[in-house]
Amino acid sequence: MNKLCTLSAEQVISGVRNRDFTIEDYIIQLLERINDIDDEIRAFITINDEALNTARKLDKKIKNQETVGLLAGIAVGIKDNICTKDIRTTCASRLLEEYKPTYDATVVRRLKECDAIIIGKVNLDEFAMGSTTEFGSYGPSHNPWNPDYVVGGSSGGSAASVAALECTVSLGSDTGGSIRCPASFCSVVGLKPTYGLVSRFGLVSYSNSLEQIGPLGRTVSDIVMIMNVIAGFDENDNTTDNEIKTPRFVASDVKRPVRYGLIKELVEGSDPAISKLVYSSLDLLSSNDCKWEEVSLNCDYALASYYTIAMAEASSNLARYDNLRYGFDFNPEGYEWNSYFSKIRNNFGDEVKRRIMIGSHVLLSGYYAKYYLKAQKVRSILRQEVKKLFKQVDVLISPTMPVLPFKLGEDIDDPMKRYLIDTNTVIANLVGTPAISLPAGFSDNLPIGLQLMTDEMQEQLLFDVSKMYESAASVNRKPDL
Amino acid sequence: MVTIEHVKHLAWLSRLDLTNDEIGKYHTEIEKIIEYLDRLDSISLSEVEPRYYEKSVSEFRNDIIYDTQTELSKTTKNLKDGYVKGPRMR
Repeated sequence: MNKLCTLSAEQVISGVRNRDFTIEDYIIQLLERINDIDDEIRAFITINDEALNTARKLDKKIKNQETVGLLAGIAVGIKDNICTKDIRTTCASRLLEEYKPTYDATVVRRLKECDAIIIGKVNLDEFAMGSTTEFGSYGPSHNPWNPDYVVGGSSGGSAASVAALECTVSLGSDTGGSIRCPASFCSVVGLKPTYGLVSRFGLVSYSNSLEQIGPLGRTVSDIVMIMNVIAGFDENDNTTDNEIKTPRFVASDVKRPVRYGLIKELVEGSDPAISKLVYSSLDLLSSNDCKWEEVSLNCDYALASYYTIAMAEASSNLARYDNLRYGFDFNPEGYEWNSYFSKIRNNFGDEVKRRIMIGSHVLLSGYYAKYYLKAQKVRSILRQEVKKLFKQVDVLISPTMPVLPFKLGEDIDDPMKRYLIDTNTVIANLVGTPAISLPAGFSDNLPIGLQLMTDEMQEQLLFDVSKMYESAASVNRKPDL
Repeated sequence: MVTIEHVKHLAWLSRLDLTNDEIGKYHTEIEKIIEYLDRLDSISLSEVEPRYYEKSVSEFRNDIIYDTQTELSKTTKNLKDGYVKGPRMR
């Protein structure tokens, strides 16, 4: 194996600084790795042709002792629903298969300003709707730990590419668990930040009130490093917090006293192998200063609330795809508007069509009070309940996913069954709090993730605790590829 | 209960041109999902305020005019005299 692929972002930066290797060496090894294994994993939709050129330019700058950015050379995979100037941004949808944005998303611009290298665009469920990365027009991604299994989703390519050592870090988006689910299924670290901490400008909208862009990586320190670049106020996104201009998170090994709360309902609803591992994780986190207790959170209506809001927002967001200003080749000549529009939109995949139609249902006039208003009220109660728990404990713990990764295609015809696996992750999106999934171990070579949640804007505490867990659990296996 | 007619209506509202076979398939799936969402109707929440995000905006960006026309025309296929060509309205 090419050894530069295995390094963390931190290690790459110090290796380049010490002249152990060049950025070009590192990028070449990654591109070779992608070439060797991506036919099997299928994490990438598009490779950035400019990656190697950018690497050479950066090497030249370093050689000439010019200043380079904080992330000089770090290869980042970008979920293909985040706009990249002049690089195709497909959302794994036929309707955007040829779409080349004319601008960079704010997160991409900030990465580039710090001299990170966009290595390519990675796979997802069409328009980020799904929990397995099987519902995209480029076909499913395959789990690096066992290619017969799903990678999770919808940021499946973001997680698989990092786990398979095809890139060092990646960006995903998380509407109801879309970063944490694949992070858990692929044994990498994945963070959904506080709502409003990271700009959504340039993220193709699915459900605006729930979604956030966040990083995935192999170490907690790498997540912290990326957050310091992408987080903070953006004048192009009114929901970003204007108090936070540039955050200064630190990845420290400080041991601090922490009160943990294990969400009883979410452990009880999990596969026994998963709950067993969660209990042993609590043992690892416990010490004289760190105690854990069981807490209760009524999550009975959370999932119904989540899907009502997500599908209602999706249905109106996706109304814009008329294939006129961008899209595939289709001449509107001779068509009447409604028939043209309906024909074009038939190119959405099954899952997207389902969600648009259910969104239309919950938004029907007369149904507003029955669904949408109720869903927002459930959201309000859940928020109060979670806020109350954060007076009692500092960190909430649960399994990230209630199930182990399953085989590709399993229960694919039963969408409701698939939706139920999002139970543990949707809470953070409904409430707006940050949540992270950390590699916790394996059951029969299938990864298990531990989810930690803190109160809003308490990312630093979340990082400190994650570091403590990371070093105690030391899950540093690499997939056999 | 969700009827076939209702699914056809949803398809029309969503502007999706579905065949009868597709309507049948979506009917089974959608009915199950809507039944699940219906659990929201079983709880009484008349005292609860709905949750919306409240954000105070203290800074407005400057109103700068960008030329998006030139850039956008690069990605548009059906252009005529600087306009985007669409299907005729009824």
